[in-house]
Amino acid sequence: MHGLTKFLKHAFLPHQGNNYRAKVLHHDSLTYIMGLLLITILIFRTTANTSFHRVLGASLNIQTQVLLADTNKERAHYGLNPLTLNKKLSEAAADKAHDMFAHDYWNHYSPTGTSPWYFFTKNDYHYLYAGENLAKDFSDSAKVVQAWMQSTKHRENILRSEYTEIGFAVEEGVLQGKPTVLVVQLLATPDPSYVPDTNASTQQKSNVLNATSAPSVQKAKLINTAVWGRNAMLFILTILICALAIDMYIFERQKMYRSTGKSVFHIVFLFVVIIGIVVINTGTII
Amino acid sequence: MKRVDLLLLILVTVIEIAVLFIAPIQTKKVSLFMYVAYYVSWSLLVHARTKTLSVKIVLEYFLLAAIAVAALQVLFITSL
Repeated sequence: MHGLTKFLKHAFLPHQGNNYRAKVLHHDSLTYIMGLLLITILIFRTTANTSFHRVLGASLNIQTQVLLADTNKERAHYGLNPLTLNKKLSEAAADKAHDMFAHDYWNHYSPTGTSPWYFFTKNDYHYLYAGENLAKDFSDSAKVVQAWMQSTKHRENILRSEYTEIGFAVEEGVLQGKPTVLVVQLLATPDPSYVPDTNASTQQKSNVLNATSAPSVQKAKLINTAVWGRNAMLFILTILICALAIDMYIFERQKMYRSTGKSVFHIVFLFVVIIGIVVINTGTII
Repeated sequence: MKRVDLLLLILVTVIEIAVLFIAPIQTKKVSLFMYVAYYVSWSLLVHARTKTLSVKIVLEYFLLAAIAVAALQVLFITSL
């Protein structure tokens, strides 16, 4: 116990023994912290495509039923009709995701010029109006819909009153050299003038997909690297801020001079970085 | 330290925080790295003006900036 108290005092309190500067803020300590972070970066960069990453990888919780519920919740908020999950649209969305992984592109149009509408007709879905929203690198369903709603174009797409049906695909793969989870959302209004060759009423019924059996990605990994990474970085920066604050307070009381940087500005700087880590939602949408 | 230096840092910090809350994701990322670069340059300039610049201080600012950049990198890599 005495040893721990002595260590904490040496690490955080400026006194003669640490040259009147908290040991955590010494150059060697800062270098060790940076070295630790560099090793972490190296490990995750080199194992990005290996089974190690897949085992330790992000805990994904993207579920179609949540995406559907959140989308309809947003539409209800604007007094719009709820959308029905359509099997053909979900299959078209899955085809689109597979095509993106196969041709390695992050765009609405493939490098070969295939448009999003191709996947509708490929799956025998004939529409009057249609739209597509894409998202990647999200680990939570709610954040996907939230990100779409924060973007004007995607929000307009979700809130279009003409749409009556929707389809989702949540697919895992490697995109542009990085393990990626793609979310494809297809919205449409079926063409009522289109009459399929077979029994129309039976076909229509089979196209309604039960949300609970719809494709989703939900995995509990050994370590959730997304949460782990964020919390570890917040912990390190908070320790530094605490050390700077204690160091600044005690040193100001002693009214001595030392040749160091301004602790108050360091605190502000690290605080902004912490806000960045908390605020930044790493997924992207198009 | 001149008052204008302090005001400049406060202004840039406020803008950066606003950008972090309202800008698109890519802008947020770029602006954070730009803020780190700005903080180091600003500090070195202020210390140079007050004639308190030394290798020890330069190293301290660079180490803090490097920790911030590395922390952001870890965040971006581990997020998926």
